[in-house]
Amino acid sequence: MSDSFRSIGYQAETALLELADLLQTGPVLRVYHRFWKPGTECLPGEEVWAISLVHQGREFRLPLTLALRLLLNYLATTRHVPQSATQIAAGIRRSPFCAKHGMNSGICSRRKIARSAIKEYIKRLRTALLVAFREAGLSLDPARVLVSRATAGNEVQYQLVSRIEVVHVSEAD
Amino acid sequence: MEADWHMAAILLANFDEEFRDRLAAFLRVERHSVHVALEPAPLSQLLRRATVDLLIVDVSHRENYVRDLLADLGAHRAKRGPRPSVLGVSRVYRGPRFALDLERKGLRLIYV
Repeated sequence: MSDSFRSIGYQAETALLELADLLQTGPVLRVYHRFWKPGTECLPGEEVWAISLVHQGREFRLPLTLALRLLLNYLATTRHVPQSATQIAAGIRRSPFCAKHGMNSGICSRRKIARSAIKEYIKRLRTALLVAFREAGLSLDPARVLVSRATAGNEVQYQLVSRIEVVHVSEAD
Repeated sequence: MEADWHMAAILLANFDEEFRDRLAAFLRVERHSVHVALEPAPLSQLLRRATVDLLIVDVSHRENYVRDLLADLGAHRAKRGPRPSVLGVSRVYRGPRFALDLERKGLRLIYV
């Protein structure tokens, strides 16, 4: 009987730690970069292949288009700073990673992301997050993961509150 | 995301009396704050008394009650965030379909 209790105790601690992590740092998102060249890390030429939610050791893929993958990847890499739509559009436009996206495959898959489209893309990203949360049985509000932050003026800034894992997949894989 | 620093509160539900009392005593020794549900009650009633971080529920019996509990829990967490987590304990092997079904509802299943 005490072995049973110990097993329950261990599992309880794991579940409580997972809950604490979730509350403090947000869910884990795993970003797959394809066409990676061994010895490098997140260099221009790689492709944002897929983005998944990781929960209880399982992965739940976010249903994202190319533009949404690029935007979420950008928000993930700059998640320490809330940014306005203008800043996000400018950052993506000037990013060598986005400019040469997928170039290592020989085919560049770029998307122009206009400042005026950011608000709509943020809505779609939240919808995709909600789909993955529901599939994972995880009741999180996407607006608390992809957060809109008010400023002193009427500008809204966006910030991703999540832990990010980047997995690199080489052409040989 | 909110910071959270307090002794974890665990609620035990749907257990038979002897197992429940011994498990509660064990978890208290492990420095958790443990509440027990004396009889099967709706989730809203179970969560009324305290903020619960983890719900441990016996899924070996009263399957319909467990499913109702998980359905209510989904609605509760949609409104109030991810707390509580749920751990299902079963003393009877019910097969992979049963386990997968419960895991998809956000329950972590353990056989004892």
